[in-house]
Amino acid sequence: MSTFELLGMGFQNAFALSALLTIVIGLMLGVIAGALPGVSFVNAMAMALPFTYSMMPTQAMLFLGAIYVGGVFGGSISAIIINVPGTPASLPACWDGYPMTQRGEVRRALAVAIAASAIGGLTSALVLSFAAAPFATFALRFSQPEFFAATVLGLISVIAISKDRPIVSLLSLFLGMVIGTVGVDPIYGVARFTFGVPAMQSGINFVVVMIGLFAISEVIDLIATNRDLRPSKGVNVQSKVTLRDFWDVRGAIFRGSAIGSILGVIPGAGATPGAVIAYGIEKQVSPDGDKFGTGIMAGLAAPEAAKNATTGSAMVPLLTLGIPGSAATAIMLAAMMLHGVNPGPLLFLNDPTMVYTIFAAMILANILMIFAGIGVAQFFSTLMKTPPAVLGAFIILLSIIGAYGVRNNIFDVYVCIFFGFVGWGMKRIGFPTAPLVLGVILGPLAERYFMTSLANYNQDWTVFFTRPISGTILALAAVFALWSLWPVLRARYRSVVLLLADRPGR
Amino acid sequence: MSPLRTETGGAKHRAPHMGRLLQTVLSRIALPSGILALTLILPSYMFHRPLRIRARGLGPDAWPTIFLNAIAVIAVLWIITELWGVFAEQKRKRTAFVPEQTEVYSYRKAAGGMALLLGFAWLLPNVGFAISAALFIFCWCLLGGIRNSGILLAVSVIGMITLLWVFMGLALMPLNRGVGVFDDFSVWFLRLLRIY
Repeated sequence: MSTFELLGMGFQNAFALSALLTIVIGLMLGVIAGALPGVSFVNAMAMALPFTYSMMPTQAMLFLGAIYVGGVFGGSISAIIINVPGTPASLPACWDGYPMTQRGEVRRALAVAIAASAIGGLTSALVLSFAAAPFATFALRFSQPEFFAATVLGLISVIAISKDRPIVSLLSLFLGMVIGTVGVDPIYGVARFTFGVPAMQSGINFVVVMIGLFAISEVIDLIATNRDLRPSKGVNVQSKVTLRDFWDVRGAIFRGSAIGSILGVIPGAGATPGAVIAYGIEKQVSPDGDKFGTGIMAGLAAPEAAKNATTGSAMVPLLTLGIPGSAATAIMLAAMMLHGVNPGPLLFLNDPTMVYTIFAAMILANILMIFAGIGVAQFFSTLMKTPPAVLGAFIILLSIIGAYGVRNNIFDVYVCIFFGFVGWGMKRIGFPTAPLVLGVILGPLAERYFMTSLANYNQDWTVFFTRPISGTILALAAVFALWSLWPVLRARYRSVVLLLADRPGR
Repeated sequence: MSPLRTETGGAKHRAPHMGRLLQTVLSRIALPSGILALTLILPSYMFHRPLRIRARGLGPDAWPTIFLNAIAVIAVLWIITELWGVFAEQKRKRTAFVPEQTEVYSYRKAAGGMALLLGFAWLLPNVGFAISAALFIFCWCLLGGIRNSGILLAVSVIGMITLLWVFMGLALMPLNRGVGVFDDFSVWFLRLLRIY
C-alpha cells in the first residue's frame, strides 16, 4: 500500500466518533493545562496516563497526542494575555505577543499565534507522515557530542535574542547555567551549591524559576503600577483581525515551520530551542528585526509555528526508533509499552493501521486545535475584565500552586518567591531575564552531554569538532553567533572610531 | 547597560563636577562589580563537604567553574564598557542624568506586595492552604485598592474554595493543611466541601 492509501485508512479511523471525541477532549485538556502556568501539558499527560489503561492502544496514543498538540500551543495563551508563559517553549510569545496585548491588540496576537501554531503543527504532521523513515535514519547517527552541539546551538541563539546587549545577555545566560548546576551533579553524584540545605540536593527546577521570574515579578509590577490590563475602550482599528495580518507573516510562519520540523526530529532539541532559534533567525531576516520585542507580528508568528512544528517531528524518532526526544514523547513511549506496543521500524510493518491512524490524528488535531485554541482563549480573555488586583492575587496563587505541584515540595514555593523578587529587581534595572531562564533549562542538558561525551571519548575534547555532524552544528552555531553579533560589533567599531577622531590634536 | 541612561543635557548640566562623575561611575559599575565579587566567593561554597572523588578527566567542579570564570570575564568586560561609556559621554558633553523610567511607580506597593508574599510563604506550611490563600487574596486585593468589604470577602472565600476544588478535589494535589489545630480545621473544611 502507498503512503496515501495508508493515510486514507488512518483518516477513516481518526474520523470515527470515539476517536474524534478522544482527540477533542485531549486537545481541550492540553490547551487548558498548557495555558495554566506551572501546570504544563507534560504534567497533564502524566496525569492522563492512568486514564489510558482502559483505552485501546491507538485511542490512548490519540488522547496523549492531542494533549501534546494542544498543550504546546496552550502555553502561548497565558504568555500573550498575562505575560506568563504556560510552557518554556512559549517564552518567545511573551516578547512580542504581550506587547501587542498591551497595545490592545490581544485578538490579533491570539489569531496570529493560533494560525501560526496550526500551520506549524500541520506542516510537522505532514513531515511525520511522509518523511518519518529518512528523518529517523539521520537522527540515528546522533551521539552525545551531537546532542551537546545541538544544545550549544540553542544557547547561542540567546545572542540573537538580545543582539543589542550581548554582554548582559550572556551574563544572564551564564548565571542561569550556574543556577542549573545546583544540586547533585549528573556524572559523579556530588551535591553542588547546596549550602547544607537538603532540599537543594534535588536542584533548582526550571519551571519554578520560570514561574518566579515571569509570573511573580509581573504581578508585583502590576500592583506597583496599578496598570489596567483591559484593552482601551476606544475603537482600536488595529485590533481587528484581517487576512492581511496572516499574509504579512507568511514568511515567518514558513521559516518557523521549517525550523521546528527539522529541530523536532533531533532528540533533546524539542519545542523550546525550536521556538527560540526561530525567533532569533526571524529577528535577523525580518526588516523589522530591530523592533522585535515591541509587539511585531513576525516575532510572534515564527516561534509559534516552530514550537508546534516540533510536535509531529518529535514523534519520528519515537515511532521509528523508540527513542523519546522529550518528556512528552517519553510519556507516549510509556503508554505504548503499557499497552504492549513496541515502537520501532517493525511497528510500520506489523501495525501500519495504528501508525497511520496516529499520523492522521496528528493532522486532524492540528486543524481542530484552531477551535480549541479559540475556545480556551475566549475564556481566558475574560480574565482581562477582572480588576488587576484580583487577577494578580489569583496569578500568584496559581503560580505558587504550580511551583508546589512540580515536586509537592514547599521548598519550591520559597524558591519561586525568591526568583520572583530577583525577577522584579532584574526588570527594574533592565537586566534581561529570558537568557537566565534558558540557561537554567538548557544548562543541565549541555553539562550532561558535555561530560558524557568526554567520558565516552576518552576525555578527548576535539571530538566535538572532529565528528562531522557535531562539527557542522558547532560551525553553524559559530556562524549564527557572528551573524547575530555583526551589527553590534560594527556599531561599536564606528562609535570608537568617531570618538577617537574627535580627539584634540588630530 | 545601566538602568540610568544619560541623554543630551541642558546647559545647567554641562560641566559636572567630580562628585557627580564619581556617583555616575559607581552607580554604573555597582552591579557588575557585585557579580564579579560573587564569582570570587562562590567557588569556596561549591561543595558543602570536602570533595573525595578522584575524577579521571574533568571533575564535578569543572562545569560550574567554567561558567563562574566566564561570568567573571563578562563582568569585567561590562565594567570596562560602562567606564568607556562614561568616558565617551564626557567627550560628547552628554551629561544630563535622567532616569529611564518615567511611569508612575509605587515602590511602597511593590514592597507591600513582596511583604505579603513572604507572609504567605510563612503562613502556608503553618496554617494550611485554605486559610493562607483566603487571607492572601483578601490582603492583596486590599493593597490593590479594592475597598468594598463584600467584594473582598466574596473574592477571598469563593476564590479559595474554587482553588481547593480544582487542585485538591480534581487534580488530587496534596496542598498543605497546616499543623496542629489548623490541620484539624483544614480536614474539617475539606470534608465540608466534600473534597475528602
